[in-house]
Amino acid sequence: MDPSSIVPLFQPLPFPAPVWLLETLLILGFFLHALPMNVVLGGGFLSAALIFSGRNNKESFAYRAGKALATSLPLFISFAVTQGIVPLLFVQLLYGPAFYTSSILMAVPWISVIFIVLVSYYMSYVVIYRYFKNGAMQNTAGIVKSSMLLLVMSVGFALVGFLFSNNMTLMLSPEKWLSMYSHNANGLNLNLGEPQLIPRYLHFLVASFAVAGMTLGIFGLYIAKRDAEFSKYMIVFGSKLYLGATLLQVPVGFWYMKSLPAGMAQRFMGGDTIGTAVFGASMVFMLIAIIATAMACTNANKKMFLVGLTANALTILAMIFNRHQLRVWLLTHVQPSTVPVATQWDLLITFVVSAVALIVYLVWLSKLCVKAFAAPVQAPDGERLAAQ
Amino acid sequence: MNYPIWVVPYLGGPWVIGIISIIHIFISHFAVGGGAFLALAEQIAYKRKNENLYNYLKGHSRFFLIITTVSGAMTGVGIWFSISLVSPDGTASLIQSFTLAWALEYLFFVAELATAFVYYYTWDRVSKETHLLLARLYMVFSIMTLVIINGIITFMLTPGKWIESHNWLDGFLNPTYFPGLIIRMLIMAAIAGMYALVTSSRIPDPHFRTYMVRFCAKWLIPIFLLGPIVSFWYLNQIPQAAVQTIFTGIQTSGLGNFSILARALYLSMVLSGTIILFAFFGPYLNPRGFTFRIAILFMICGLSVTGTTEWMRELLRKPYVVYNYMYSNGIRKTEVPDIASAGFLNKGKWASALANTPECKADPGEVVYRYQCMSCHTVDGYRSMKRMIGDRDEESVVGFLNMLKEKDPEKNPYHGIMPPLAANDTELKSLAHYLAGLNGKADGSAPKISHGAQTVH
Repeated sequence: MDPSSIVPLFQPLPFPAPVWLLETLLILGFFLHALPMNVVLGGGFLSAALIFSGRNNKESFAYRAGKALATSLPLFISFAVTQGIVPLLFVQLLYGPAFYTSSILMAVPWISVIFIVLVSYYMSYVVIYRYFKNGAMQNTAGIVKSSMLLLVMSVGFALVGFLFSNNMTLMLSPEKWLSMYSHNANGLNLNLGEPQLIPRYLHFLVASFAVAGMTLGIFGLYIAKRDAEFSKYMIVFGSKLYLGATLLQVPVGFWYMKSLPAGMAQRFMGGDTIGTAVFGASMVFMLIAIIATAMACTNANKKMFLVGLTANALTILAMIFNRHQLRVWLLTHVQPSTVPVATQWDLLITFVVSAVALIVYLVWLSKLCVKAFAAPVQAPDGERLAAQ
Repeated sequence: MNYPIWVVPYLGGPWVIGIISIIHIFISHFAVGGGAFLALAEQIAYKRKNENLYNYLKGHSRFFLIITTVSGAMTGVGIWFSISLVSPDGTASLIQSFTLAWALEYLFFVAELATAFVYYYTWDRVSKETHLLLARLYMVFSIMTLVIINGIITFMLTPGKWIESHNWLDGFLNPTYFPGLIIRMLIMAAIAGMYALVTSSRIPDPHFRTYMVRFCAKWLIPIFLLGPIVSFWYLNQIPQAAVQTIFTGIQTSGLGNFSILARALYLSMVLSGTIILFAFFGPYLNPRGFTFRIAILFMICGLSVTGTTEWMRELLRKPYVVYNYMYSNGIRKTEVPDIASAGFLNKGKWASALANTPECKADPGEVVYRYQCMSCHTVDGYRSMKRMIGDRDEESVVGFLNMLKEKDPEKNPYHGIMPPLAANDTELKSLAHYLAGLNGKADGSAPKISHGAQTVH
């Protein structure tokens, strides 16, 4: 049947801002979500592994690095969730007809995302308050238990990612919807038959380990003045992890490219000017990141690491742009540009002014934090944040 | 009809939203009210240089941070997930009108969360003045999230001038915006006071426990005295037809569903009264005898008031999802006459695809049931159709459904409570055949009808 007869209509109400602006906010919003989300996903597994490998020596770098990472996770989870609001909001607005439909088809696994994140999120706090701050790490058994808990937490997050990959690919395939719904109307479907699903998911999962490595390096930069040896360990180990994950990304990336519907990969290889340019840029950024981190790997060079970090962030941004293009190309039946626009100028200006104010506020808050954590604690029972 | 319908057996889709929302309401109101409580209590600690109070706040703030950032945030996103699954057209209408308002709310969320973390982690690390400032900032940001979301929640019950203008501000600053905002702030302050009673009752030092319990009681009493006054103002602003259904329902209709609205109102009033007396004679006059268990009982009373009041507000909006604009089944009010003549199964994308694609082998009666009844009813669970249909045969179901098409309240007692049936005569008959068939009362002449309604056959 013709898929267009099954794609729902937009509401007969105008969009509140021009489509290009909404798309920009969608891409930027997803970028700001992807960074902390990757830290959580890769960082969870990484902290479990580091704590486990350092289980016999709490003074070991591995244990200390794992602890620093695990202690910071709730903060990153919180930001991953909050930053998730933006892309979720704009994907609903711009591609609602596809997104709502695919969500309904897999309603049960989709809504279970909430419960899985909730449980995993609590587990991240349990590790901190029941283990790290409660004397439970005095013996190896406690340490092993805490690393197991972190592993279960991470499996939860990995499952959430898998469910997202299901929905994000299912929304692109209207031709599957009707038979899927006829098969099960209770929202118990998944998009497991999709050739893109596994390589796409793996591509994002492997990326999270690269980002986790970078995060460890950032922790290393943070404590460079206080503990040079430990700092060096984290920068070198983080860089190595980044390099390993990125090398693994080469075959996974090729597999993902190959799994795309006919003609799509070619658009990134010359078929589409903007697509090719951005894809090319992402490759250049990745090369810079690889070279810089490889150099940081050998002597824990902070400047090189920072270059690698920046280049990696730019690679992610470019790839997110390509990901968005792929959605636009595949979703020929949902055309946001056909919806009339009545720009809500008053609200838009309020939003922009507030966004600027927020940035200023966050800068002030960060400065406050840096100052607070540079000074010694005023009372013995004060809490300590992350890397120490 | 524009989207596929998620079939949730026994419970029904709306209860999926309901369960998540109730949990979220308890936590989010605590997050906002608790912000005010923490700021005020810290100010008192600062003025009186009360280290005991400072220590109490440190303990309370960890509990507060974890509850609000984890469960508060996640159930908030959960509501959003659930409404888009159960009511995609309604959700899409809200999103298309208020995306930028939500985007603005997000900015305040970020500020709120960042402040909450810094507030919690900088106890004893920044000066007392700075810390107090952080507490106040948290309070302001959390109230701002309410100031924004309240516009969208109240819009659904009283869209006001938006119906004609489709201007976001008309919908946002609607007739119940201000009374709704004040009621919510009172509820938030009340819930915060009650949570604080729970944590206060566990303070080991008896002298300081007495002090804190009394402090919480003083915090609570004025809130419950103000409550009824603001509620009266609120009820004056909502559509009078909706108010009437609260009271007429109980007298003219024997059906439990409608009188429940009035019962909920009375229940919430009785519970509020109980809390005032309870707070006055308990923690206020006798703070020493106040225990953790009593605090929990107190909390249950408070959450019950909130739960019943929120539920009442949801019921008031029936049969609409956006009052006077879109019915709970996703059909816009203006579409009904057109559908009644052209036929429902020829209009919506999914409804017509399901009914008209041979591979789906769908029973048209069941398709109409899914789209027009299932947003409030289930086959054999909540508001069971089998129970509602009872002994009616197909002919009397046809009569009943014809009545549901009437726009005159004199002829249709369900007008204003249930959406009008939007179907042509053939569709009405196949719906009647399907419904009567649920209890085996369908005429034998019609095509064989499935009894499951859980999947399309």
